[in-house]
Amino acid sequence: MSKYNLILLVAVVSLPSNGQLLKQNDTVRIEEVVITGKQHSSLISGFNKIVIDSGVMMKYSHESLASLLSDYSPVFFKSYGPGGISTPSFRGTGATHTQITWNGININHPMLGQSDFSLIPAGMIDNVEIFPGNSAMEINSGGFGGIINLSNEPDWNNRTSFAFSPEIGSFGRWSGYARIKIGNDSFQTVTKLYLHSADNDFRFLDEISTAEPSWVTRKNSEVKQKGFLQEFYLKKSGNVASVRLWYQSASRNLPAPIIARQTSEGEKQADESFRIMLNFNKSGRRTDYFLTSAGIFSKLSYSNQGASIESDNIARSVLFRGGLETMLGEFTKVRLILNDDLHLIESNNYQANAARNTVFLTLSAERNVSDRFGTFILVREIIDNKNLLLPDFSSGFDFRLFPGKNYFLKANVARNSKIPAMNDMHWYPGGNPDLKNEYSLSCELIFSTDHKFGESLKLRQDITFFGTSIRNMIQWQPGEYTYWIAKNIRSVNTSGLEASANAVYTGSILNLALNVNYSYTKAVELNSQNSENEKNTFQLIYVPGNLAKTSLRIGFRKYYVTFVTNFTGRRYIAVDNSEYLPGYAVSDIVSGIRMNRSNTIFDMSFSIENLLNAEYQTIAYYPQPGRSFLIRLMLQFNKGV
Amino acid sequence: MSRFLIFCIIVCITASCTKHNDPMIDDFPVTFLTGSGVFIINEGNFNWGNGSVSYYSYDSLKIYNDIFQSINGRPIGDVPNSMVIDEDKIYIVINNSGKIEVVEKSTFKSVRTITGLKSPRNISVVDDYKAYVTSLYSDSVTIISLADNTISGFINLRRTSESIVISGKKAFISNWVGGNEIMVVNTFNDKVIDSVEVGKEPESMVLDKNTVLWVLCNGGWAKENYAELVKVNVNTHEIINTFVFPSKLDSPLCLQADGNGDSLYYIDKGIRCMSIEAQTLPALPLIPESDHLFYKLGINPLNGDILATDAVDYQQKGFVLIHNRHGTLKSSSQAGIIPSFIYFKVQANPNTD
Repeated sequence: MSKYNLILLVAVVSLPSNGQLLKQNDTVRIEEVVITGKQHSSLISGFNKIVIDSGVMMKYSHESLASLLSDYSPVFFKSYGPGGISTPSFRGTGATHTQITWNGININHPMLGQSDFSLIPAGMIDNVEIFPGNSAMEINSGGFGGIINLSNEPDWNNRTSFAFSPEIGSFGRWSGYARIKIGNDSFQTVTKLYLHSADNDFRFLDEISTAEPSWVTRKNSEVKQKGFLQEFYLKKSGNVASVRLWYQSASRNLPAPIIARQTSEGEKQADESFRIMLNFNKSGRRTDYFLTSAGIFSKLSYSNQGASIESDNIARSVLFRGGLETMLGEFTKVRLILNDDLHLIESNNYQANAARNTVFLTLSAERNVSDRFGTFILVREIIDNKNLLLPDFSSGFDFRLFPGKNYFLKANVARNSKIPAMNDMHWYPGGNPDLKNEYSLSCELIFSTDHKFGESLKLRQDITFFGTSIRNMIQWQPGEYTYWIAKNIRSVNTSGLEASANAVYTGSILNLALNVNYSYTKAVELNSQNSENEKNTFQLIYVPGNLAKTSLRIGFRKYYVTFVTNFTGRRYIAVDNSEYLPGYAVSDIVSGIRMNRSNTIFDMSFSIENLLNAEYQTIAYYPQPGRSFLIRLMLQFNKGV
Repeated sequence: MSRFLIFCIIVCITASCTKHNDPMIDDFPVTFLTGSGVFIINEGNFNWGNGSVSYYSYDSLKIYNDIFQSINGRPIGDVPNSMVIDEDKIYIVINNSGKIEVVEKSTFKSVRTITGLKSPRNISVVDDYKAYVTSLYSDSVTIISLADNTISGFINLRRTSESIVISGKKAFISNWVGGNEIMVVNTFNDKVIDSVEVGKEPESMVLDKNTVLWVLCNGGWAKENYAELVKVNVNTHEIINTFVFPSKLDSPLCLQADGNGDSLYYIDKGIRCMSIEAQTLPALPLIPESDHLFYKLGINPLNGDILATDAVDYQQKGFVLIHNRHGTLKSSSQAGIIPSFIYFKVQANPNTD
């Protein structure tokens, strides 16, 4: 990294807290800023990674991870409304194909094989990294669409600080966020607390229930959440040991689609999880070692009194991740990682308790003989309940097109596989213990550029073309009786492009940051059972062909304003593409003032969400709220800075 | 850069003005409901709101799909389940919307929406004044006043209900999910007067030409019981005979009778037919299942055509297959998603023969 790049990086990170930047990493080496968790944070040749800027993370401290990623990543979220379940669709793949990890440890619910991103408060997380497509192989297998890695890391420059931020808004929404940091050069402790409540009783125009349209209030959509995160870090001689404890719970009413009967005894869901993680990183002269173990307890209770359904599910997981990274000679870096995931499930929807132990052994090597050319190869063997699976692999290269110029060409290929979720195998009735693992073959071609104009302006663009074939895809099919059975029957091809442009201007009193992202996705199923569809090129349902996201942030002295707009294109809701939800665009604006006085930071902002009051649905018959308002305060007291 | 910035803002604001919030349908069919035909209720997927009503015209030999949405400009609701025609009105029961859409028989225009029902399933006209509606989740049958199309009362069965057959002044109502009884209701005073214990999960019922009640019990989803076909005397409420299916894996459904009431039909790995005089269950299907997923059945009361719905994979639009009385396929028409309940509106004419 050049001196100028380092200065620019510092300048970007030093922007006021709401500076909204999306860093698209390429072959620019930034290992210097990585403090812990080297096993998942380093860059590898031939692949892309998206890092959400810390300033953006601060702005979304009261929001869910789904809201954050909806605005700042190519991921599309199917949302049942505010506070409702949000599941991702990345590059045309299903929700189970976007994995989520915490400091490299898989935290997807083992029963569902996916996560509800609305349950994860962004304020609990320090960093969010998105590994799209084949780059996800660096973390783990199964993320055909990608892997979202969340991480918490210490700030060794921090001594003691206390931050408190209340928020109040429309539709009975209020939340509180607090963070306490205490520490010195060798010990750090971080405590985070989060509370959230919302009635979500917004008004919407019901044009379908009766002959005459009428304005009605959304009911049975209340949500309450609370979370607690405690971190301890100890550093000695460059080695870091840490303990992290993360508890969160959510209690939600699940509203029915507006086309269905709204009942007073509707659906309810309670989620509770507790995670403990122990981590040790040892840095040597040529070799680094890392060891992480975690225990996760998850409880999910669903009830529907009207249908007499009570579903209680408990998952206990013990996960281990350890390995080493060493230099072989001057140019070659080798990494060996062992993962072991043990899950125990207790559910009244299973005939008996179920267990699964999966071992992943990953060997990778990266070679950079010059600053113009780098290569990477990874091989992973998976042992699932003593069954040896066909190995996964990924390989890529990057090439600087012109010496000294930041024009990069990258290419990669990968074979990725995903083990069926526990529900797919053990749910009663319909679970199929004979399911095979899904697998994908995928390739990517990436072109990126990076330009600086003086010390104050930087531009970055990149475009990624991808193509993925998914086979043995699991689908629940009607069986001999009226219940459905999980089968490996689907074959899906997805292809498309993702493009992004980022401009940052940093002046003495004026800061500007502009991000524009666009993605196009074509996702088709190959083996339609409808014999009349001789040439089946139908887009998969709920996969938007076009997504565009922009954000503009302007900071002037102590004032700032941010404008964010998301456009989501047409989403088909019938497999023959005869019905669809129209595209929509939603804009948010945030303006505020931020003052720094003698170790005290005061920040007050006012937000208007859905500024233009767009009527839209991401899932048919689940209305989203119109224009709403939010006021947020943030007070931070620093000691010894 | 500034021009690019202005362009982005204009694009964002312009796109933000999009104002659609309901599912759009690319192709709206136009149809007129005259002459003989058959209605097909397409359930759609639970909570997806993609159910619909199709109409197959015996006059034009064409199927017209999604006619409620086309004519009334709004979706019919979530999981339409059954219908009945009474005089000049059609009553369509929408299960997961908890309502009944009342439309004009000749135009299919909505005249009233009866709301407030709990998971309604099937409807049967009792007399000139009232109809009964069964419920999957409620322990009561809802009484609908046909004079003003309102809920006029309830019959507390203390159990859920599914199929209804009216015989004289009695209504026979099956307790399907988890149950094994047929409740007998006096339709004059809407009181439960008796019950008949039959096999596990009585799913469908018909009357034959001798006014004998036939009850198809599918054995339950867990396949722990044998399915049964039970004959019940409607006067004494006693069981005349029970036919036990050979395997616990048999899951028969959708019992139907032909127009004369001397043959029974049901789905069980194909479509099976048996005489009401038969002493055993049919060993082979009249119509093999082949690549189809038979979901519901209807028998044309005039010409004996066997109509079967094919739900395909429960996601794509399904088909209505029309066979002659001997089981030979006459035609196949694409309907909506999960085509199920079949209701005939037939009168003698050349095409129905």
